[in-house]
Amino acid sequence: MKGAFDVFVKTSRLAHAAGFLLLLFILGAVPLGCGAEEQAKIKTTDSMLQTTEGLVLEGSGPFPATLLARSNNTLSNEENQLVLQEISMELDKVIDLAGQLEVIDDHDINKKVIDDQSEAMTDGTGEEVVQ
Amino acid sequence: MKKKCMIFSLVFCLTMLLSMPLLADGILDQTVNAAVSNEPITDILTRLRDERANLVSAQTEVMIQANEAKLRVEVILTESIEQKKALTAEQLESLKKDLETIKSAQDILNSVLTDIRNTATNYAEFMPSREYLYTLIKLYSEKSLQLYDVAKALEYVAAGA
Repeated sequence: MKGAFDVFVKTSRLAHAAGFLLLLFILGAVPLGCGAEEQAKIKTTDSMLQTTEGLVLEGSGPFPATLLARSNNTLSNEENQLVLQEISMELDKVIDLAGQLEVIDDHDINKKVIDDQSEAMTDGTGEEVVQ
Repeated sequence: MKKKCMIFSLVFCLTMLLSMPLLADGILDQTVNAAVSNEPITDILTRLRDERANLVSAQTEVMIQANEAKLRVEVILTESIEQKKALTAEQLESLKKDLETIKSAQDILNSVLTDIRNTATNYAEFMPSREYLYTLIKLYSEKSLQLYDVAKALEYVAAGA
């Protein structure tokens, strides 16, 4: 009977130890697993950057790619001019985007409401308008 | 039993210690909220108008610098055509950096546009409320800073740095 009890105690201790080790493993493996996933993501991004070197600037046509790939060499005159024209066009896009901001400001539906409220405030009549 | 009590106390203390910054943040937020909710509406609207003016000014600065940069590129282009002179490796390297700056400027401008549009659409129903006005003030302030950064970057392109 005592032998059986000893075996039970030993088994129970073993189970406890195994459980504890399993817990440790889970606690250690989960962050490691997450880290591995992150690293895999970074690796993928890196390889994307590496494989698309010269094409990082999407939608810009072949010339920026040529520029990037051959920036240590000289390009032909025609290529030079095309690169410069393309940069100029990209700057046009910047100007256009900045212009759209102006349009938002001019046509901002809230601008009128805000300005009306401001006027009402100045007249001392609009305190209730804004809660 | 004593051991268990000690472990429990340790865990409890650790949890409390870790949650202190969060609690502090909450208290700070409440204080700030209480302060801003007492701000007179006229002051809020004045701040909003100022921030909007600042945004417009930043946007104008971006346009000025982009035009300056374009002018510089066109001068190089004209010289290249007239003199039939190839660009040097340094010039190409510089242009490569310029192009990256310009692309980054486009991305930022796009995100500024999107954020402003989204806020106008998503919060319009809350108009007119203090919450909305504060949201606009914060948005205009943040976007102005971003636009000034873009203008600064384009200034370097214009200067050929």
